[in-house]
Amino acid sequence: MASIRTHTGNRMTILILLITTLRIFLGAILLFSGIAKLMGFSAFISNAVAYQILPILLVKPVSYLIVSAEITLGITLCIGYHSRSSGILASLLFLIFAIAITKVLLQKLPVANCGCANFLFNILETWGFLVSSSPNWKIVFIDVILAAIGFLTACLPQHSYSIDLFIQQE
Amino acid sequence: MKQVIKDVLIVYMWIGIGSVTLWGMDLFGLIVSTSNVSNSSSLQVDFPKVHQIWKQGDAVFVDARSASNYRQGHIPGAVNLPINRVKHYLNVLPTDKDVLLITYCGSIDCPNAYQLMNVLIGYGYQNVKFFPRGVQGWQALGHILETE
Repeated sequence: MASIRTHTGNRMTILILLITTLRIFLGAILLFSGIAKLMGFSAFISNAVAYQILPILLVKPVSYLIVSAEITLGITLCIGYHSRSSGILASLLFLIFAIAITKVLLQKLPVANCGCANFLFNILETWGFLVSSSPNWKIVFIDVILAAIGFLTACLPQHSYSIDLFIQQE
Repeated sequence: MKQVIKDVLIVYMWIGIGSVTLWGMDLFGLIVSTSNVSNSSSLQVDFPKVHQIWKQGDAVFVDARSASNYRQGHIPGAVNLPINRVKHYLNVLPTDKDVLLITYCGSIDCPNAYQLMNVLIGYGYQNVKFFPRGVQGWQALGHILETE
């Protein structure tokens, strides 16, 4: 009986550690992607315009919101501050990205490279985490996976290596 | 559940504060964009060449701004192709894909001319360049604008 309990406990610890790793990974992606967008902000805005989803007047405020959301959620996920709610919001953000790219692909809008070339962009684009090249189904797939990771993060009630845990223990 | 909603609102508040900060930074010119628009010199046409091309009628000038901005004043002879409605306005362009197209927008700060150039290349136009200074640059050098 005791050995079953230890076995279950070990599996639980591994699961918590796995989700914690995924949380930090997701946070790092969001943080890098937010900083990269900020570094190529005008190109990001012009790309957002070409997506033809929002009225022109809303493109700039929404761009501020997206960049801010990416940086904020990146930080909160990395340090584990309000991990569950950050996971939910990150999940929503990636789903919005997936929907936007799907729309562009279905409408066959020729959104070209945004011209945001810089070191960070190049790395992230190489890893496939950033929509700096023409939208494609691979990016939609990656966004859905990242949304799932965000949801998984939100499902876990307790996170190790997090400010949440520290606050709880206090 | 109540706690999660409360937490979401707290994180959302931080995102809001971040957005306002970014807006402020942009307003004071603190966001330095490192896009490669300014580096793409081979795709640019600038003064005096752009005026020469316009005078000779060798190219179709394409205004990437909204219809209302276009009506207020555009480079004489230019056609309007708002960047956010390219698909609907595409018929204003010549069917010959080899014709020289020069895109422009409001000023040097506006990236839409560059973006529209890329979009038009995506539609199969072979000979597209952009005029980075846009309407503001055209006017600054004493050239007239056409209004509708």
